[in-house]
Amino acid sequence: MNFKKKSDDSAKKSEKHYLSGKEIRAIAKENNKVMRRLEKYKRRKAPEEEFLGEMKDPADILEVEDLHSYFFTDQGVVKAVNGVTFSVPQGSTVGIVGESGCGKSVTSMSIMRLLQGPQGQIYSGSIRFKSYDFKRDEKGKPIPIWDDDENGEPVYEEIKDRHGKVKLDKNGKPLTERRQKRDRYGTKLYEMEEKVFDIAKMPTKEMYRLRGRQIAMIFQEPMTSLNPVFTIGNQLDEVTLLHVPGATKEEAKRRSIEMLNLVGIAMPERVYNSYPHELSGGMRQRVMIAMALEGNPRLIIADEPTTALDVTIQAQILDLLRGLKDSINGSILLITHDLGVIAEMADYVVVMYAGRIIEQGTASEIFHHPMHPYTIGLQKSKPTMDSESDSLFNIPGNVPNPIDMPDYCYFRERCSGCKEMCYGEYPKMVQVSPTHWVACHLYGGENPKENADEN
Amino acid sequence: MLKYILKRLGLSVLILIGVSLIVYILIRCMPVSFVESKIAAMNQGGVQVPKETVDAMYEMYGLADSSFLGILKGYGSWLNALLHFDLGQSFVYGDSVLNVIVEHMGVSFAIAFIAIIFEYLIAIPLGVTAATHQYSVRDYVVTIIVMVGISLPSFFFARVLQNVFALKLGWFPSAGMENTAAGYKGIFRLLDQLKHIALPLIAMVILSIGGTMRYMRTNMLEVLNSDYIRTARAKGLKESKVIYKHAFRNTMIPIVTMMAGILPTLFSGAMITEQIFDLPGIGNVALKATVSADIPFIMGYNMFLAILSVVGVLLSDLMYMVVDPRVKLA
Repeated sequence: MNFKKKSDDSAKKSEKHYLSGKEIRAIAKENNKVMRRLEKYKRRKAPEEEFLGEMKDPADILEVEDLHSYFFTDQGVVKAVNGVTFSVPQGSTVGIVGESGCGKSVTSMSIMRLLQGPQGQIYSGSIRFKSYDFKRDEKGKPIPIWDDDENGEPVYEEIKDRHGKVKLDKNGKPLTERRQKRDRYGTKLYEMEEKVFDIAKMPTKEMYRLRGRQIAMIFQEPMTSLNPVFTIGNQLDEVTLLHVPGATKEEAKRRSIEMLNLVGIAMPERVYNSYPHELSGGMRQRVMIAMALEGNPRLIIADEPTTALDVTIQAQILDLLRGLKDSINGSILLITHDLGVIAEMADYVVVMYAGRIIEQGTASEIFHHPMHPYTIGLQKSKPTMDSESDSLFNIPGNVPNPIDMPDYCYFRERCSGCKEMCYGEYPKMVQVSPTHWVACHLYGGENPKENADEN
Repeated sequence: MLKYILKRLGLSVLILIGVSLIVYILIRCMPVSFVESKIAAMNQGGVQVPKETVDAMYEMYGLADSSFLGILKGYGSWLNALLHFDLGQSFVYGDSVLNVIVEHMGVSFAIAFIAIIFEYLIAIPLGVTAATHQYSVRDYVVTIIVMVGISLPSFFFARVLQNVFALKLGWFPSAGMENTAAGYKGIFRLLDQLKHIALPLIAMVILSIGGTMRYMRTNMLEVLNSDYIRTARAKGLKESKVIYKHAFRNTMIPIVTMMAGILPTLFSGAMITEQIFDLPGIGNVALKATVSADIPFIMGYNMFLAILSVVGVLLSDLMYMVVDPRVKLA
């Protein structure tokens, strides 16, 4: 990102527990300056070339590189996401785990560009996303795929109005239009092309074509995530009407009902006409998933999709998500603090702590050979059926205050394997296998493998 | 539904009886008496009114017995007359109370109706912009201006307007409802009347915008921070659609409660503003009646407002059901 980097640690670190009026004013001044610059950057008009990019690995659908998402608060800058790098390969599920407040949700919100401005901002870094967008002609209109007959001759069909009657022109002749190819849900198809966008650089207005259509999000609170005054049908149709050019209300309704069917709702017609308060939590989460599928997205971000649900519904929703991933050939970015869910669902796991990634690897590596003391602690603090002990293990202490983070391993105070080196600067990422990375001084030696075995 | 409305109306009768009893007792305890001031006026003429006449007058106006029982008796006879659809004769205006109310209601209603339309047309967009641009320059400017409006006392602000725009600049007439001397007809008469009510309207609108705008801003902020707005944004909806479709419908739910307050204000008239601009509205009439302790009129006027308030609350409850699908009345 081409932001001018400058120090924004305006408040000097001090031992006292309060901020003086002078310090508060200095923080506010500095914050205002940065926020205004970033807000202006989001509102700017930019040609498409400015935010087009290239994927590092063509197999990836999403690459997040050195992402910094900050909150500019009155007490100082909260570095909620502080240099996060990971990627989501096409067709896979990537899980992000960590304690509350470690930056999981902020990472996902950054990808959607839904951080609440002006306080929440992507400060620097890049989020490259391989989008599958409409191919447009010179006038900027999407190019339809025509459904021609065997000889390549165009086929014309009559235009029907809402009541299924054929529309007539002034002379009483039926109006016709060239037949367009439709998918199995009756939604019109257009020519598509792949483009790589750098989401962090996109103006907010350009985000409208990615949100809902290319990247969809399922939130953790199904009870409050649906608008209480509109029917389910109205809220579902909106996505199709918004993202498919020339979609009619009937087409949208048909698609919505198909999607409700797909997520396992028994009476889609009835649910289509109900209001959110008439459904249970599990049903609402299914509706949210249906809404996410409506735009046929390439990436679904599920932000703790099962946290608010009871255990039996959790299993059903996870099964549903797993099945859907294959049927839509998309990827899932699953955010959770439930290691069981991750073990069940994810191909790759990213472990976050205090805004940074401390370990990442395949699910099997993280579960069978956890390396970072934090990951090991997380594993231990999971209740198991065969353990004999009376009390559950927990990692002592809390996540440090996110304002004025020190430049040493944030886990130092809570770590059981703390060494002299840990009093030095923040550990770098160490590669321990082709897919397994860890940021810990325990493995920073000449031969990381050996160190790992010692542990 | 019909059953619910009937039940509510039945309960309203009880409320109205309670209101009328309290209002009647309070008026009878007022330190002014219509008869007293009338006799004082007669005495001013230099003639000493004989005691028998004074007693006869008290008897005639039904104010002879000021004991608690006497007051209750007076209330009983007022209620009895009401059951025969008789609100009594106004002491001051010498006409039946109902006639006086009906005669002056039109002017007040017209002014209040126009004022409320303007109030909402201005306050709602201001509230929305202040909320969507929270803590920006725009938010602060709007908030400061409406706070100034809300803080101005009506008697002061109306006088300032009158002084500046009517007396100094002469753009508007200073008082009255129309220029009877000019003898305008049809559309010209209407325009003349509009010119006369312009200043009171401005005063009323500026004074009332503040409350509505603050209310709108608070509600909008609350709605904008809710999860379903995030969902709407995540769908890819444009910000304007998010605000005016998804947020606005939800903001309207608490706004509807204000309906309960609108109905009485529409008809009650603005006492002070009408008095300053000498408009023949019901507020002006009621103020004069109150000052001179015109018991039948005050009773009639207050009952009129009480009925409107009760109906207003019922209407706002019904409106709740229309705007919020979660509310079911039974």
